[in-house]
Amino acid sequence: MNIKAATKYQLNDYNKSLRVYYLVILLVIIFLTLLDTIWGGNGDGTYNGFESSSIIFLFICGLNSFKTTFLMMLQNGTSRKSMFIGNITSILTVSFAMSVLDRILSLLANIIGNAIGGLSYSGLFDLLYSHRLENLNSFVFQLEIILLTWMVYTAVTIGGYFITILYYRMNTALKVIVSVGVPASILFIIPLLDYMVLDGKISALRNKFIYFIFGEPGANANPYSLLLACLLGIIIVQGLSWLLIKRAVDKN
Amino acid sequence: MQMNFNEERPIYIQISEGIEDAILSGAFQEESQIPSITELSVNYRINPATALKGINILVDEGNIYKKRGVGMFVAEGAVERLTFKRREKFYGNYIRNLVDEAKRLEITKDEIKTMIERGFEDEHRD
Amino acid sequence: MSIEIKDVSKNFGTTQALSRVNLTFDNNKIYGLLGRNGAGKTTLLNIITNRIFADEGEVIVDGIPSKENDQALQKIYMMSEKNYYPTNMKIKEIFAWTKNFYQDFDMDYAKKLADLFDLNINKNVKSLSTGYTSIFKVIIALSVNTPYVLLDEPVLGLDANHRDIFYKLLIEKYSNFPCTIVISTHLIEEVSTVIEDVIIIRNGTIIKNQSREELLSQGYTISGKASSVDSFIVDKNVIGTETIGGLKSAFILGSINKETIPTDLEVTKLDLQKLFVQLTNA
Repeated sequence: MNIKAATKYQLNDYNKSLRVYYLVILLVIIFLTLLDTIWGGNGDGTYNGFESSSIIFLFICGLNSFKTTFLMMLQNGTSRKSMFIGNITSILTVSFAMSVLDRILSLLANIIGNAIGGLSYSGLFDLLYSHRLENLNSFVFQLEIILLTWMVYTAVTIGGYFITILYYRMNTALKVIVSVGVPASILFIIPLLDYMVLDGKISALRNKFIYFIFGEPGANANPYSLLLACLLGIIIVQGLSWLLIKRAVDKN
Repeated sequence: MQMNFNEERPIYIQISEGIEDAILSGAFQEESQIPSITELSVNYRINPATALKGINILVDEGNIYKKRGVGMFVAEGAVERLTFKRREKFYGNYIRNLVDEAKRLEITKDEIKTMIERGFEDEHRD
Repeated sequence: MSIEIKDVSKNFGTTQALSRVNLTFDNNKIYGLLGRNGAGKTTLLNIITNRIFADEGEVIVDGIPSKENDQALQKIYMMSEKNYYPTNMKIKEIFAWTKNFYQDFDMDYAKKLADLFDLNINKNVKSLSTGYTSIFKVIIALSVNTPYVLLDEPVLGLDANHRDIFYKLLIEKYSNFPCTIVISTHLIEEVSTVIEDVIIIRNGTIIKNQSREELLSQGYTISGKASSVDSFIVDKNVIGTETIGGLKSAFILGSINKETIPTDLEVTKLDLQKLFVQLTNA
């Protein structure tokens, strides 16, 4: 079986861009810390959420990791199945590594910032779920955040991957229809339909969904709702991706 | 050993005749080793199966023998046998063609005789 | 041990690319897969290697259906005319990855060949000329040591010197480590001495599949004055003719009786290139 080689290859694909990405993140942290030390005075500064940039980074990685890899696998006698297994393995690995790394960086940034001046940093999920610290010890809380980040990162990457395969499988006409149709539906048609015909049933449903994941306004959010949503998303999207990959052919 | 393949006859026959020529001219002495199938096929860019087929003609006629693990050698008496075989074929291969071509070119019998004498005298031709 | 192609058909839209192809590539032979551009050569090879799927039929590699099966696919290396490698990857990185996928890839030999062809393995694919793009793929094909090697137009863009080196290396490799080689090409003359069996494909159908010698011994060429040739071929199975000035050559299928040939006509063997042109015309 070629799963091992296929996984190694796809992991390696992330290697270079990951190094560049973290170099930039580090520079930003250093820059902000220095900035605060020099000009911040004695006021308390805050900054937060480079998880969001990790999310964007991974989404783009997902978008870029299909065609070249697919051709390389075809050239090297590797089935779509092995490529697919290698792909999900490498995504899970990279997302996990990044969620751990981002957590460590968050804690470090916070410690250093506080030590030098009054600069504090909070991660994306620190803000959202800090209330859990009342009942949980800090270590378990960190693990919880890592787990949550891991699933969010994975979901985002396979989302990007799915879009790319979808575009690879579609012919030009379909591509145009989808490229125009999907944004138009989201921004225009669905809201209009919702407003004029359905009496806001769609937006009510959407709000219900958002409240389920992030909690009712004012109430404390449960991190496992988001986790569950991500997990479901991963399974459904990855299932669809497999259906698309299974019949994907060389268009070289 | 020089060989320019033409498409008139099968390549394996041309290979076997090329080696015969080399034996007759003394390039491959009796009891000396001749190039391997691989060397022949690489050198002439031919399929090894074709080279083998050509060599096998010589082996079947007893002019080449194989030593396991060593290579192929020219058999004793090969020159004599080949000379005899070639003489048998001389009329069919050369004289008939010569006469046919001479007729096309309207060369007379006497003119041919003169040319043959010239051919024997001219030792330095290529 | 063989690649068996069973009843394979393939359509692209309304064009039929392959129509019920049945074919076997046997152990340790060199095959010439010959056809004009668009005859279906690449489509067939792409189906064998699972790059595209057949509409009907299947491909069996050493007893295993090759569709989506790594074990079967790992026995085959295909050198394509098009490039499948990442264009920003260095040649030496490609060699290293090839070794990851094909364990029998001989890295030392590949590097030796790169030297022989003057290929700088620190360059990336994108910076190579057409000739050198073929060369690096040829080097992998010669070093990969799979039981089946498929070469699709291997000498594309190579100069005469490099072509000669390539054919010699191919024969040397084949002699030392026998494997099944399929050379797909429309340049017949170059491969005619190298191949053992000939497969001619026309409009997606296999029209000839036999040993080269056998194919060429099935007929002959007769040439001479046009009028003499014409009267000779009246009752013969003529597959084609060529006329230059008053001279005519006719390509005839069938056995030859030397006694019946007029003295002003010349008989020669069929030549693969000419036979191919005649068989695949129109």
